[in-house]
Amino acid sequence: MSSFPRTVKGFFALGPARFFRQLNNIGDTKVGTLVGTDKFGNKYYENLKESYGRTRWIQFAKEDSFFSRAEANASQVPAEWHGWLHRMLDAPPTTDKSMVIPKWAVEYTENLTGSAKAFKTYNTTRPKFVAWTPKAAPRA
Amino acid sequence: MLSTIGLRMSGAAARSALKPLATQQVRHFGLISEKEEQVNTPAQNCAMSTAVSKSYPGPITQPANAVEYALSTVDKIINWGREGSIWPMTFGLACCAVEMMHMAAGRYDQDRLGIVFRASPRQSDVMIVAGTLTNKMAPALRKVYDQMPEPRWVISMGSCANGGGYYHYSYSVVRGCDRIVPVDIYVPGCPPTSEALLYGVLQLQKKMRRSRVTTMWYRK
Repeated sequence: MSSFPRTVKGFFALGPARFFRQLNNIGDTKVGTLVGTDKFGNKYYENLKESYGRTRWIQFAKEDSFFSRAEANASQVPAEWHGWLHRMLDAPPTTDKSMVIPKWAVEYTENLTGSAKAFKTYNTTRPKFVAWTPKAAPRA
Repeated sequence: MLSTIGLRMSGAAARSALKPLATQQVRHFGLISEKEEQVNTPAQNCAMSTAVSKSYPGPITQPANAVEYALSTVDKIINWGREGSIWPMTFGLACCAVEMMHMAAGRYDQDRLGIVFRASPRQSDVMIVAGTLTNKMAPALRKVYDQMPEPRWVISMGSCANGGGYYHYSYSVVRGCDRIVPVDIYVPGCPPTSEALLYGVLQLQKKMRRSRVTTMWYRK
């Protein structure tokens, strides 16, 4: 939904740093009010004048920068803020307590697949099959 | 030339990355033989924990000298090229294929990530196994996989491809396509939403980003 006037307006509203950051990451300049920040440092914005379906958005803490490649990931959104982003909640979870996270729930983490902390089920059984190592007889 | 290095090394890189994990697992079950024990150098194992060994130059993600520093930049360029032009081989087998088609359609629009479905295995990088893999289809799947050029990746999409799913106890279904081809990304769901599949593709991009093609070549 970007246009030249919108981009120019965004430059003056956001300032150069955030302007280039947004263009680099979302390819648009979005101006809105900061609604809240979660424990990972992701920032949540809202602007009801944006077109329908684009009024709430997130600025990830781990975004693309000039020096490092993005490690932003949709799973970095905690459950309660996911509810706000997807309009399950009217008000941000800081005020709207209708989404109850039980006390015994484990701490929310992002998807750690591929890292050293990746989830693996505890298992003591023998593996049912092991990787195949081809053994070819030498040719005569 | 770079691409040829990439083709040659990616298999070796994957193997060396897999090796310590596999040995750990096998050792845990007491299945490893004495001979293999010696082959797995103690330097490699202790370096995993303490990084004091002289022969071990440190984790691959941290360049050890100037050459590796330069090569890691080359690696980044290679990874950028790979993750920016994923051409998946469509292996639509069942209802998952419909979700896979949705990933290509307007809402999720895989084109913006440079993903273009390629109906020929010889020009594709990724195979998306979408659906139930039957015993009858398995040889064809393997043949198509073998026709794909290196480097190649496999995304297993949906319960049936992951582990047989609903048809796990059927007499005619393969209990997971990882019995036929090596799988990189498993996307859970029955069927997974196209959003989930796209997230799986993003995870695959992340995996590609971790590869260090020329640095591994230099270290060897």
